[in-house]
Amino acid sequence: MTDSTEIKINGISCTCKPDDTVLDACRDNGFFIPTLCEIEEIDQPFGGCRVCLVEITGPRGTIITTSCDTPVSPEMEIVTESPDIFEGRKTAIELLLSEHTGDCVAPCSRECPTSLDVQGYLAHIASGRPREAVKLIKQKTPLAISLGRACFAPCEEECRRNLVEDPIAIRQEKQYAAEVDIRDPWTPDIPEETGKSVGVVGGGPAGLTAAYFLRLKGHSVTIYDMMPELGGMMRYGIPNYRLPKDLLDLEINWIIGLGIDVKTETKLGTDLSLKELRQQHDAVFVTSGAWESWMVPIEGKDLPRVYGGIDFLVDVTLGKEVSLGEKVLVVGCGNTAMDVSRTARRLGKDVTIVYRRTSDEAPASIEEREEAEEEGVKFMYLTNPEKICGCDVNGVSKVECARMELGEPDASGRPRPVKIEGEPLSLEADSVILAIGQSPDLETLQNEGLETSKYTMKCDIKFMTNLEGVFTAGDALIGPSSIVECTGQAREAAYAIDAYVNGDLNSYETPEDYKLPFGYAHTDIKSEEDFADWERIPRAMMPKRSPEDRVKDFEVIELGFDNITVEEEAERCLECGCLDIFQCKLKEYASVYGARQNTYQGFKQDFDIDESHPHMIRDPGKCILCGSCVRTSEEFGEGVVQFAQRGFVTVVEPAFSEPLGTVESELIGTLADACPTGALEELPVDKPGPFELEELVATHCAGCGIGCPVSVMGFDGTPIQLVADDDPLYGHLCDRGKFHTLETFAGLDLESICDYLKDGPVDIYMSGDTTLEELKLLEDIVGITGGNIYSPHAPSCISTVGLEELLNTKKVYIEEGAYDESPLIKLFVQRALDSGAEKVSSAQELGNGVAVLCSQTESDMERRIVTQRYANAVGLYGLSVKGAPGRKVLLYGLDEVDIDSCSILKINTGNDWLIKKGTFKNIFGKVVELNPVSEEENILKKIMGKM
Amino acid sequence: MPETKILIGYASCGIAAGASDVERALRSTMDEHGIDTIIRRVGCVGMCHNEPIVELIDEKGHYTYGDLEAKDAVKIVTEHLLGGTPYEDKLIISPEKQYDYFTKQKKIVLRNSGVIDPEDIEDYIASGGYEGLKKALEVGSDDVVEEIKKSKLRGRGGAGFPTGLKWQFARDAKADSKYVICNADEGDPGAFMDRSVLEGDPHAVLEGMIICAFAVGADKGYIYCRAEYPLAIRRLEIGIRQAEEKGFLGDNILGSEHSFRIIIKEGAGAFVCGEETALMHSIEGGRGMPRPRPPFPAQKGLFGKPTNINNVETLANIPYILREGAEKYTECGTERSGGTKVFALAGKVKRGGLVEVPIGTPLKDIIYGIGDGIEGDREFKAVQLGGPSGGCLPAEYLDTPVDYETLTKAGAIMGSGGMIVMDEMDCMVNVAHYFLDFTQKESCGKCTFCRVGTKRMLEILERFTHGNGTLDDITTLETLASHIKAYSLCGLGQTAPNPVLTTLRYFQDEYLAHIDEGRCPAKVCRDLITFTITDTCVGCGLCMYECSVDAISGEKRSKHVIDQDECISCGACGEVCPVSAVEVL
Repeated sequence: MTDSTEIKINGISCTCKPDDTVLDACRDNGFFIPTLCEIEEIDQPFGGCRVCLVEITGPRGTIITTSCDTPVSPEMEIVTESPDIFEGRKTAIELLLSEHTGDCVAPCSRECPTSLDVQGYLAHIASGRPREAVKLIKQKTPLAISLGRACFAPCEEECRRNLVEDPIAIRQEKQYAAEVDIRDPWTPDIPEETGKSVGVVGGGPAGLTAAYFLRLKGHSVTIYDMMPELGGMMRYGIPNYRLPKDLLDLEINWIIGLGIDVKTETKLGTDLSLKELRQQHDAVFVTSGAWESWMVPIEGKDLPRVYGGIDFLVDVTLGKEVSLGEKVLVVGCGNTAMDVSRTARRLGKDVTIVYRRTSDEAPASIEEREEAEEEGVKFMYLTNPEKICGCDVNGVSKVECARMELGEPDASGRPRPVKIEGEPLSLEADSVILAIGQSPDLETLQNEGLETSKYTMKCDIKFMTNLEGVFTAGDALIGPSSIVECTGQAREAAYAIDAYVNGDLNSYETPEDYKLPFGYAHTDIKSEEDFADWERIPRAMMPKRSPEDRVKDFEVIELGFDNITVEEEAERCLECGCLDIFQCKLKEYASVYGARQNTYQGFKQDFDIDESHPHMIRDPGKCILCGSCVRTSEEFGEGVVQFAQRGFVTVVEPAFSEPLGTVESELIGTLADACPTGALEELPVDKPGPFELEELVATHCAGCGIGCPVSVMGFDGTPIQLVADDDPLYGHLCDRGKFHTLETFAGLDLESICDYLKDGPVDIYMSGDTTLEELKLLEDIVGITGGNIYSPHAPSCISTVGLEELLNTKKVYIEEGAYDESPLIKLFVQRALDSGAEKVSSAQELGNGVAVLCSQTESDMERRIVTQRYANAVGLYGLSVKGAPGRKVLLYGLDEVDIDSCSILKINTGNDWLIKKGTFKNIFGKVVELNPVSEEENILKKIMGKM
Repeated sequence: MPETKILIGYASCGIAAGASDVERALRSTMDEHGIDTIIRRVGCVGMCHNEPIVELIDEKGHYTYGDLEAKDAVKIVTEHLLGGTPYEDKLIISPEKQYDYFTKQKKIVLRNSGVIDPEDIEDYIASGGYEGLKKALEVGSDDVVEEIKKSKLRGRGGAGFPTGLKWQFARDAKADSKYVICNADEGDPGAFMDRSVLEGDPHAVLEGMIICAFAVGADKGYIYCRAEYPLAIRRLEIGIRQAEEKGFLGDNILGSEHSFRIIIKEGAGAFVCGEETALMHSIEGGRGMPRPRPPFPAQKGLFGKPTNINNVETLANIPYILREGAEKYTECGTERSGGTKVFALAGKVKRGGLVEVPIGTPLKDIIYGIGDGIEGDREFKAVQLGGPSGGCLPAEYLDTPVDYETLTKAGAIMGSGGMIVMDEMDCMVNVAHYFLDFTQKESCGKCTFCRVGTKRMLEILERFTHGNGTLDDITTLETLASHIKAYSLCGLGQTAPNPVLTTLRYFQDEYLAHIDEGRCPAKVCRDLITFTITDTCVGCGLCMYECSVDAISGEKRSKHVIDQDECISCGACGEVCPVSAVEVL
């Protein structure tokens, strides 16, 4: 047989190994093939998911078939991408999605127009990391402060906690974090300047957001704004009592501080033209907002003291005198109407809102309506103004209204208000403010050559207008909206602009719906019944100024949460989003193939989530029956999970449907690693974001004498998870290593230790994870104090061969108990068995094979691996306890030891290798390194320094 | 001149129909009259529609009585045995009276079934049993494989792979030990060919296995038989013991170098275990779940060793081929396929049962010739071949010769031999639903297309039968079916859509009637039919008592009425009505 086989992949000649599968061959030659059930280290293909389809022309003609279970043959021709292959893969994924239950992301995030990772930042806040929370928010928007104060929080409406009692106070949680951060704001790195420049027309939420993201791409940005200060509607539309200007200034200054040029009091069409802007910049972003008040065609609308809502708010913010008289009638019941009414109340006026529908249809948030009511604003529902009466000299005197009733639903879905004839109503008023809507200044935009619809700007799906290089988003595009809608849209527009100025607009891929970056929600709407057993925890109430007090001025109403309340409130989060969101292969492939979860909608099984295991969670609703856990467990000789049932109701579960918590296994964590979805997941130690983690340090596990390579994952110095290093020999962690949690060591009183050591001799007992460096220091100390040095964990016999010999042995003998000391030995033994080794039941039959023995066994066998419970037992070989201890004993790192002695001093190191630096010798005779997450000077060094 | 003896059909079908009562009556009557004629219990003779059956053989010939009760047994003894005059009332076959049910068949596999005592090896030997083995040992294994190749015998389990070639592969594989497996996991609903062979002629299968083991060089054999066949298992156990005593099984068979032992493994009833890789996994102690091929069993099979797997019926052919020679065997059959095929003929035919015909016999000859046409002389609508993996063929295929190629081309398969005949009272959408429901529930759950895909197809069919389907559903159904067929892991999934695809192909009008008109033309789908009582009603009240949901009301001797809101369309009223006044709309 030859060493290599020639095949063709997508028309390209490639070589592969003769015993490769088509999948191996394609992957090794750099061609992507999706698969959900293949496990690279297990040779026998499973062939369950059927996603790895390719087209093969070979001995059987041309067929589309799975690549994982098809061996290569000479001159085979493989095609990895075609419309038929795409359809087949997509169908397989859609069928899997149709039986998959769970939220990829929580409903709060799904609902957020800016797609903020709400669950993630709440988790950070709950764990006392508000700045990390803001870091997460700043990946999606620079406006954490403004949103924390003035977002209308659609997330809270979707919050599942609504089905328990009340939603999490998401906006106010963000407020706390943002205002902690703004004192010393976290700032992302700005890359090198690209030399490209973008002009942004309008410095409101959309303009600021686009400027921020374009700056983060290294482009130079200039904001042009018609007003004296930046902020747009956040400054001029939202009154100070909701969004204090000092906080807004901090946020805007921080954004501008990233290196953004600003030209205020510069209005498009008046002070500069689009033509000029397009000459000066590589791209222009028009986000000039919606500043024109809608004036209803009502008789008397041109009388003095009749104002547009937004005009009124702008004038008040600018400090202009607005003549209102005593009685103010506000028309409309949206958020602007609330701002207008409450502003007028703060100016000491008697304010009445008239609205032609009822409170149920009012667009303003309940919270705002309640606050307005508390502040003395009167509401008259089902009342429609028909004529404003008055004269040109004194202005408004009264408003004639009609009484209304609700009729059939109109185009917006709300019931149409119908006039009740013959019941006129006359309301006294000195001024009228029409707060019924706003629109962009279309005339100016049209004069600049931009195409518009009847009410707003127009653009294509990549935010480009009819003019090449001119983009738009925000209120100018969608009409009067909200900060959170504008900022999310502007971020996407900024990415499109970035692609454009880089010369390839096509590289910007419009997310199918940019509000749904993850896209998949497999949970049907849950009912309150599903949460009947949940503990009721009331929502934290935001402390506010009293209504009487707050109408006296424009100062802020919300006084803010304290750090304890904010953490408790965030702790209420139900963590709806999937733990596996950043790793899930099903989600990844579903996105790649545009697979829909409802193409093949049908019956789904209703499972309970198994939370019986202390470190693992099993959610059978997310299981795709790829069998990866079953095979991994078999591979390790454990077989703790199995297929059960038949047909559509087939499940993977522990034997006899027992809960996972009752399963006896040393390697159950490896099943979570094997699971391609969130069906088997490791529980994080903290409240789960889940977060995207980074490697903090690469070290070795000191859970036993093997010393497996391990990556400590976390963020900002905080270890969150231990992950097996991608090592071809190791590549897995046993539960002792994987579920190791950080316990910092007890306080050590240096003075008293030194005092104790001064009056020698002192015998030193050290634990089995004492590093070689610590051993050296302890020897030095004994050299000074006199006495002996021991370790009760020093073995009487150690390995004579290494890992290679074990893996290549022809025969292997395993002593009972060896797996308990070093669980991962199971894996190496299994690999030896897989490559043809024979397991013998007694050492006598072993011949030239390798024996795997326990540390307590004395053996003169020539070829042996001796397992060790303690990391550096081998390094301490020969230091076993001999004779009775002396008068004084120092215990180093030991939990407990029975020594009859008159005096014992214990230095408890907390036994934690995550914060240790040093080396130890493993059972294969290799010296392995420990690297700490954060370095601290070793206590022994300090002692030596003192002695 | 043969001595007088009585054979009584004692396979599962006969026992279920009351053979033991008949036997008791025979024995006690004979005791009364002091007669000691031999009574032998034999396997199924194939006329399941006539069970219990007794055959009396004397110097004048064979006399077959059917549809017997205990009192008939008394008459057979008194009139025929004692009186010498056949008991005409229940006489089906006699030297003077031929029965075309048999004359139109050709028996090779079933040659001994219903003829010999399956629990007595001597009976088998007397009918030429183990001659084939002796011949095989004489000519050597190379010639055995060649002879099987020449016989054009193809796998009777359904796929029709040439048996000789399969043996060649297993023979060519180099290994220190090999296995032979007999696949007796007959799981198709309505199929009972293998059971009848095992119950009626177990030694034929054992001899087939021994010859096969000799040919491929295997030293160990398994019979994987479903536990629902206790009688078959008992007779196999007896057969294995007797064969060992006679030296046909065990070390140095008949003094040769060849040694072979057989173990019976009882399956737990999973349909998918009929698939060879799942079957092997089950024998190994694992869950019955197919694995991808290659490696094929001939390369790496049971316990990792080269393995040859054949179906019961295939193996039962082997002794005949060896004894009589491939040339004789190929006297019947087609160009590419020799011998006969056994079918379990069932459904709306007048004479159902086990029939064996030469491969290539037209469907019409089986259904109308042997089966004597449709019950009540109604219109033939379709025949379902190959069980849940097969397809439904309409009337225009009645002239189709039954062989592997033509059936596959028509969208059905030869399968293991299920043949269900349907008439105008069968709804084809419902039939498709029935078979798909079976395969869906029997899916091992491993591969996506089979586990989820068939479920989603089934849900669409459910919508049709409930009158909630749309035309888009047909498109989805077709797309899903083609994907499942093409991309499923094993034969179960790959063939599961066949009943749906063939009914869609040949009976699309029926689907459209369900979708467009909300109508079930065969008046089967409960949600689409209503029951009413016509003026013929005589007011007897029987229907009222029968109705389980109290939906019928009416005064004695006046017309009764069905409350449509309460009616669950079970049809019980129609079955009891003495004047056929219940109409289905």
